[in-house]
Amino acid sequence: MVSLLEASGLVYKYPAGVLAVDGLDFSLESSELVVVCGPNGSGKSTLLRLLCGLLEPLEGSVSFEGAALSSLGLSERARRISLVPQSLRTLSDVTVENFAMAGRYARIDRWHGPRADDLRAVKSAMVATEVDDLCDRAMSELSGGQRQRAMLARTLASDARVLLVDEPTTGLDPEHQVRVMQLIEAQVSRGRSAVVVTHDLNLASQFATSVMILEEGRVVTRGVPGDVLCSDVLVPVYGEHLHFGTAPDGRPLVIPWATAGRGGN
Amino acid sequence: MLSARSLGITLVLALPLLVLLSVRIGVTGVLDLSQTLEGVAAALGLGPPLAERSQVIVELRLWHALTAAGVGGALALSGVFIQGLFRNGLAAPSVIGVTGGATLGASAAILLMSGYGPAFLTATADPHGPALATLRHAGLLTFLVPAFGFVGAVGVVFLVATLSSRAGRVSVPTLLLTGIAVNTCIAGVLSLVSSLVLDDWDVSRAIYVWTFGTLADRSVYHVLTVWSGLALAAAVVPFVAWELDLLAGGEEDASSLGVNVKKVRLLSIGAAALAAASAVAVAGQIAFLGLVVPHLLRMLSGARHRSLLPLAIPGGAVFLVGVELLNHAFLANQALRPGVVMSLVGGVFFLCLLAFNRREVDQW
Repeated sequence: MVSLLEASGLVYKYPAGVLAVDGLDFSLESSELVVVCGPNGSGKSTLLRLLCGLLEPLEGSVSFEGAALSSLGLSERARRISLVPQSLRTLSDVTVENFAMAGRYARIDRWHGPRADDLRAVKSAMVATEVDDLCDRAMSELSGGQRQRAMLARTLASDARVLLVDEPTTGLDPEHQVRVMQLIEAQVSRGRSAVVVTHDLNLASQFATSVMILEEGRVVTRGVPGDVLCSDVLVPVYGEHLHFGTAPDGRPLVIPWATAGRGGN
Repeated sequence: MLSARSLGITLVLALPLLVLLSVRIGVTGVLDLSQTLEGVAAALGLGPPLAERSQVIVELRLWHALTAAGVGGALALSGVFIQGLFRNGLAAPSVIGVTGGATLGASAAILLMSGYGPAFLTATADPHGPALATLRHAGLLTFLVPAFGFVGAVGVVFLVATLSSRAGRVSVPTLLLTGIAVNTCIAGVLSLVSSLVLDDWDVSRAIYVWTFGTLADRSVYHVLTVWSGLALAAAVVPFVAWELDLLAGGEEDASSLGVNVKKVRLLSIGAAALAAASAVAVAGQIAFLGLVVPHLLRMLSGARHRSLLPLAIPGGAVFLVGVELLNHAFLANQALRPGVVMSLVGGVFFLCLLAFNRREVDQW
């Protein structure tokens, strides 16, 4: 069976010659939420950029529904795969609605401008991300949480089937972290698929259908949270400063802990 | 803040009024309104001419005003393109050396056509000398000066873009330092050329005038040259306006949305260079207009390129025609060259921008 998004044997080096991704295989199926974790510099963000075609791999290939990504035009790619960057500069007076409309760039006719279906898609994305009441506010006036939701609104407005989300919860308080992840989960339950890069192993535990751990550009392991988020896998990757526990619903909990300890599982 | 539409309508209505005022009011006195209108109609081939001297005055003032409008529009448009491309409000054509590059190119064309170039460009070395000399003075010079100016402007934009960009990110300090270095080099080359041809009064004066900017004694050829270049540059606007807004988030983000960044960069660089070169070709180097006008328009109606780019043309035109009108109305025979006025006004404006944006500047 052909995967929705598939990568095989990916190799990528930074211009300085540092190997960022080293022979990595990856696949994403429909309605799957893969959370990619790993230490700093393990190649997580580079992987996202390779998966959406922003970076060209030195070796290996990426395909969308069996078609090589390199054979698709820029607009065709943008209609299928949407990237949510970690942070973004915008023009000072761009409103939330205009910002979200940018997600429709690959679909809007240059000479005609936005049509009814474009306006509907933007409206529905703003409602889904709860920024519809902020539609006339300038992006520069938003709080961190509102800004993150506006960035997700832009991605949802694109109607892309695959969402690639780079550290969406960095800098947010716990309430907003959960709300952002719930938003992504809701989209997955409606038939989209998502790859989320995060350092937060507990959010991965709660929301991922599959967790992938990277180290030095290679896949250490991939599986359901219960199999991956355990000391046997994580301590060799992150080191000893972790404390393991179990949430009330039975999911694993992993907490950074100054004194090395391996409580729980 | 004004809506882009109402600001655009105001500017488009103000421009012909200012042009008419510029024709009425000049160093040689004030014409009455009916005389002004009849003279303008005659200059455009729509009526009989005025008595000889009056018609000459009307036409001189009309071509001066229309050239000023074209130059103002072209420099402002070039400024918006360059600021959008480099995602920085301080990146004006004169600051990063684009108008300097165009001046160098235009000066090279003047030298070539004045007998300092290869033999095939000089009438004396050609067996059909007189015919080529006629061609040279009638058409080739009009074509070569903007063409060489364009090459100079494009060369500088590519040089500055290459030196100040890394992995799709623009380093503002490098951008400005490169601009300083390029401007210094160009000033040095122009000084060298001027000193080498000092004995050839016509050539050295032509180059000297180019470096300070002039709108005196312009003809219909100058009007057509600058407006043709401006029209070609403006034709690019629908293909890059939204894209320049999206580039505010960085080239990688714009690419992920489906923007062909390479195409947008090439079109914007070409249009910015063409607009700046057209202006320099007919009026010489007028600094800072491409910095001041985009900032004023941004303050009045926002930063979106979909409105800023179309507004730049009437905005720049109204600004330079207005400055020239005030210059001639108040200073009469002592009227300053437009390049000098803009250097005085623009230099102070640039310092104010730095002062008011200290926090941002400190982070570079």
